[in-house]
Amino acid sequence: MATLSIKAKVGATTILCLSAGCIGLLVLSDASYRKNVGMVTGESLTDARAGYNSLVDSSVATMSMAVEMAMADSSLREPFAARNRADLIAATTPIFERLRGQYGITIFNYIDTEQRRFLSMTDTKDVRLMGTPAIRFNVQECARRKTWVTGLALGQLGFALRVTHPFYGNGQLKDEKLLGYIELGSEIGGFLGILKKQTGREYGLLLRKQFLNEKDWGIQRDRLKLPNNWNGQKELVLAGNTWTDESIYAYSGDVMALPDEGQVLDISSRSGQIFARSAFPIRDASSVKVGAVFVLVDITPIYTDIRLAKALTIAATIALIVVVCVVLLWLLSSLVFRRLDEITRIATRLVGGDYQTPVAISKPDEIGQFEELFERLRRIFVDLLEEYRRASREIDDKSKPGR
Amino acid sequence: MAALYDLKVKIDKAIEERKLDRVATRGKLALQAGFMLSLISPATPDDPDKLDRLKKAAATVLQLKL
Repeated sequence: MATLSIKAKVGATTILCLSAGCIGLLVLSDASYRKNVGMVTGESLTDARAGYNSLVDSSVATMSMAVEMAMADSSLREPFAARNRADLIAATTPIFERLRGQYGITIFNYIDTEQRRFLSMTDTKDVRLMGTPAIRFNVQECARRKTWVTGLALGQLGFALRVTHPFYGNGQLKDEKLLGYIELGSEIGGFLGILKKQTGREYGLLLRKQFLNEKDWGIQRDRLKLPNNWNGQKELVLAGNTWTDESIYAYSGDVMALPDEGQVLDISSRSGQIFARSAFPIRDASSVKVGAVFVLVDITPIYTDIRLAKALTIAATIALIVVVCVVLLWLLSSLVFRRLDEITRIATRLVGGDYQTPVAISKPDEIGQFEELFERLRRIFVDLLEEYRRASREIDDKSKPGR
Repeated sequence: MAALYDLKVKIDKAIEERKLDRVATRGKLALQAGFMLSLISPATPDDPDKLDRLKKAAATVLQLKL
């Protein structure tokens, strides 16, 4: 049977106990790390959603006010009523420039009563934007309900937050004579930069390809002097982002499955930085989930801290194992092993013929009690031996002839 | 008769020649063999079992073939 010394058993037990403690600490620190990351990411997600909704609300308010002012402006109303495109462009251009520069309004459209595009100020020369049907939910709904319709909608020029309103002949919100519709829009990609400024996080806007047209997307990207990223992802396309590496926004999940309050997705690293990714869905004017805003939280400092804490825990455990083993073995050696060795040495010498060396009681403890017991046994043994020898001598003497 | 004693004498001689601690070595042999060498006298009967045990003890402790 294999034997293991008490020293080895004590050493192994110490190592096992401290290693288990170390593993426990590492598991705890990992759980704490995940909790911290989850908390920071969750808060960032909530902030981002609130920030996004606030931007949408303020943007809708700004555009609604601008729409009302535009409708009240006879220099716009008259050429639109007369379908005089040249005069309308001349009158709208300075207003549009001011709205674009000051409020980020990038879309200014006039749509006729048949829901066909009459003029798009974004590109006044693009024939595709003249006389073609403006088939999208907000225009159709505005025509049906004859009132404000706001929300995200896709047009020839991309996905934008749009405010659409019937344009009446009297320049008021209600009239008998409908001239057509007026639509102002703001690219939501621009919201990301504002959100970044407000929160310090990185953002990306992913749109579902099924709501987009590949050709139009290419034209739009070309117009914005951006590389065509249509084939970057399978189901989604990145419409805007604030981080240099677009690959961090890669998402193979289903945007439709994202809950409205958003979801923490995963942890991803790029260029030496570690990001916790989360996303919340965005809906268009018809309440369909058309994409998602991705929120990237740089958790590099948390990750570095936790790695340092882990390394320190491991180093401290190793140091503790060494110190505890050395102290325990030294204590065992001085309190038990050395004294047992001494008893063994005296017992060996006793049976080897040294009857004089006593066992010294070194300390009044358990081993000391054993030393005392052994010393008593030793004395009894020596006495017995002496008795035996004396008896042997007497027998020998009696058996000698002449006695 | 005296084979056990002769064996003891040979062992003592080996201990002396090798300049070993006499008491400690005899103690180890006694523990190994199960009886004390100091109790072997020329008159000690030659118990074959004791002879065998002492030879084995000598082989183990002193690496001495007897």
